Amino acid sequence: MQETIIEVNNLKKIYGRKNEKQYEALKSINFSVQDGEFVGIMGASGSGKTTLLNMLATFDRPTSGSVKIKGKEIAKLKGNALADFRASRIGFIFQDFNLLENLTAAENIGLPLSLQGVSAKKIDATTTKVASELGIFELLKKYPSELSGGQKQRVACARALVHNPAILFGDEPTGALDSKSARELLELMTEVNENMRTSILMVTHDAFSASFCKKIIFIKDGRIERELIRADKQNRSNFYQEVLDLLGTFEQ
Amino acid sequence: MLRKLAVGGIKNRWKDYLVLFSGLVISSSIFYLFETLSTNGKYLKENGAIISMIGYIFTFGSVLLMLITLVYINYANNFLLSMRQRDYGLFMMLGARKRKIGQLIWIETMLIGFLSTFVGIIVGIILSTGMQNIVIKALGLTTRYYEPIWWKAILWTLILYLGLFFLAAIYNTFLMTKKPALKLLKSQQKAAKKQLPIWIQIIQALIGVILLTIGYGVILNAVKYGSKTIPISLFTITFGTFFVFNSIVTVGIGFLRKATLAKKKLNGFTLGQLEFRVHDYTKMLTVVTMLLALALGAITTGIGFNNITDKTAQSQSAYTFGLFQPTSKQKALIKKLDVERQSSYSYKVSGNAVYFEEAQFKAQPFETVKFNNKNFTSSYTKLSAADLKKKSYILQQFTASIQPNKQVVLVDGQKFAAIQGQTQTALFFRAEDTQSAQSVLSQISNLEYAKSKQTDRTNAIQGNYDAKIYIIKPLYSGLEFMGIFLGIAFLAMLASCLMFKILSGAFADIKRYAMLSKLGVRKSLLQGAIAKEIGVLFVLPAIVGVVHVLVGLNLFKGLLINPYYGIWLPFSIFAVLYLIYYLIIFFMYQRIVLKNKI
Repeated sequence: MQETIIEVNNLKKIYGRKNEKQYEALKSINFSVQDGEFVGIMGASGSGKTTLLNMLATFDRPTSGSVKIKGKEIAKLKGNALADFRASRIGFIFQDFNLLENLTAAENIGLPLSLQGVSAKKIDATTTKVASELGIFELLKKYPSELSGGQKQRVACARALVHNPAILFGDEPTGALDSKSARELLELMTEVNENMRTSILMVTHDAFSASFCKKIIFIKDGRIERELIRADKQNRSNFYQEVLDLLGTFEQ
Repeated sequence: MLRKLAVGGIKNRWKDYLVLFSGLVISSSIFYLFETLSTNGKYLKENGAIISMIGYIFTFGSVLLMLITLVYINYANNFLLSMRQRDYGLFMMLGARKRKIGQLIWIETMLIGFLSTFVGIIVGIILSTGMQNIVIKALGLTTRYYEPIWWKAILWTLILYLGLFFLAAIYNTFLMTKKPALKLLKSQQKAAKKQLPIWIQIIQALIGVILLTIGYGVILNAVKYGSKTIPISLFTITFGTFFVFNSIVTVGIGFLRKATLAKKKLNGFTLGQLEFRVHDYTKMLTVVTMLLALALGAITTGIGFNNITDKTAQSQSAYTFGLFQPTSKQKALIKKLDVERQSSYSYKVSGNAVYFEEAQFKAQPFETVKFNNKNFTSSYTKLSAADLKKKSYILQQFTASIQPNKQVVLVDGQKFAAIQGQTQTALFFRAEDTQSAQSVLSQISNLEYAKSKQTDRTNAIQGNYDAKIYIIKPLYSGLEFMGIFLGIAFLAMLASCLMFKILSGAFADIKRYAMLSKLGVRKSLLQGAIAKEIGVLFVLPAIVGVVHVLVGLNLFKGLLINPYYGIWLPFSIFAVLYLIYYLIIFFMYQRIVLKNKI
């Protein structure tokens, strides 16, 4: 039996104050992510996919419902407990990289470990190890401004993985990359998922990116519309076609 | 339409404009304050008589302040540009003509310059009036010939500020019309600055240390270099400080970043921030250091004049009072004092002379002040009757009040008895504690002055109490006022400089801190990082500035006897003000940077 990493129950998010005009961004979402899964969340702009990701990654609070990560209810976390949870359990890759431009790649990657009070020696060792695995060892001494978009995202990926998070979240991680870098990054994420057994949950509106996932959740107007699971033997281009077909039917 | 957009831009960012505007107003009002002293020749001449070349010193002060203003306006202008670049880039994207854009930025810069200078002068007039009143009331000082509204100061402030803004406007217009629109739009995504190669930094450090050594050397040998001391030391110390910050501090931070300490919590981030900023901040750190040194130096010297008032007075005469025919009221008052030494002598007035009996001065030797020119101290020594006979002017100083234009003559007992006239008594005494007995002493003094035939009280000085109240204090209080006034002015300028630069960096930090928070950094750690980062920007100039002051006080050795006497007082006052200011900036910064809820 696989362990459940994320469990979402009856999640709702309403924007706007009580006496103002309210907007229901998420209407009762239920799903779960198992250990080692690579899940994509797809939807058009305004479908609520980013809202959902923000709830899961503790960047925003749900109006009602529960989100459990490794059995821990995160919707109620506050202050230091919230910060510590982010620091130890979650890895996040942003569309615009969010690297600190005044730190070198190595320092950026090592930051989550520094926060946990890991010794300098161990930080160096772990940073080097993760960087080698992601093929960015030569870039460690460089500053973000000296890196290309694809390289930046790899560094961001290394930073998100360095502390062995329970789950890696991605918010349109290929959104700012050219097609070659995007493909490389997605292949890298697949490798990470398969070799390091890291669970990944990624939000995207791009069918190509989504085709790298093992499971895709389609969201429309704040509801889960469909779930698509890639069959064991199904190859990626075939799955890509299936995603495109499904999106086609959605649009109508 | 474009005009509407431009005004709209200002409305949207009024908080940033407030920072800009208030900074400029403070700067120009302080410049005005300084100029009210500096350009008021009569005031300087009357109050700074004992400082040779005081006008000269103030001219260099003005030059230094102008340089500081130049750096300051440069910062202000960069701040303005960074605010407006995107907007103007957007206008260009929408099809605005370059000429129109140039016109707009020119008008905007000049308008801000003109308004802030205008308001600055008004604030300056209010400040100088207020300061004059406060100093007069709180410290009991007189400020003769000081004019809070001084047209020369208004003129100079207008010329400097409008001139600089005119240049800034031309620069801005040129920059905005030459840069492509896309570059303006993306101006915020600045690339990281590369570190200078190590050998250049070593050369800079060497130049810095050499310049500082020369500056300090010149100050320590001020007598030798005379009027050249101030220009040489100002130049060398200012640039020395700049080079030291530009090299040693950056190398130090780079070194720390490689240490294991940098891998602890957010230290690495803080050091990274600092390393990026120290390059950007070296000019500001130098300006703040110099302002801090000037402010602290001015306050210390000002208070120093207060400290030596008593000492100088005591060296004016060996006696607190010399009373002629003391009245019973005066005698009763003397009984209230702790009298250390007292002697009375008989005298007779006849013809053109006042006669004393020599034998009485043998029995009770008269005391006088002896100077020690080496360490500028004074002590009291007994004069033999024979010596006093030769130096009768010592007694004549006292008799001048009741018997002006009459000689003092010491005669033997026989002659004295033979002189026609009533035998009268002169009572000389020295009180132990003149500080706590002010009111008693002032009553004695007034009673004595009632007997005087002099119309000008400064000609009726009966001992060191009168000397203190009617000569020394008026003289020194002018200098004390100048010192405290300048100290406060420089301190205000320092405050606005630091606030301006630090807070303008805060906007760029919002994203970084939001990022760290998303990575799971505790709020307390974020606060700690802010505290450390701002702390360094406060501590570095403080250390270097204090060293400058400690060396610079040597300049006042001749004037203040011991310029280091009691410096703990101004230093502590300054430290407390500085600390409060640090806390204010820290909380302001935190409010800007850490405003996200979750």
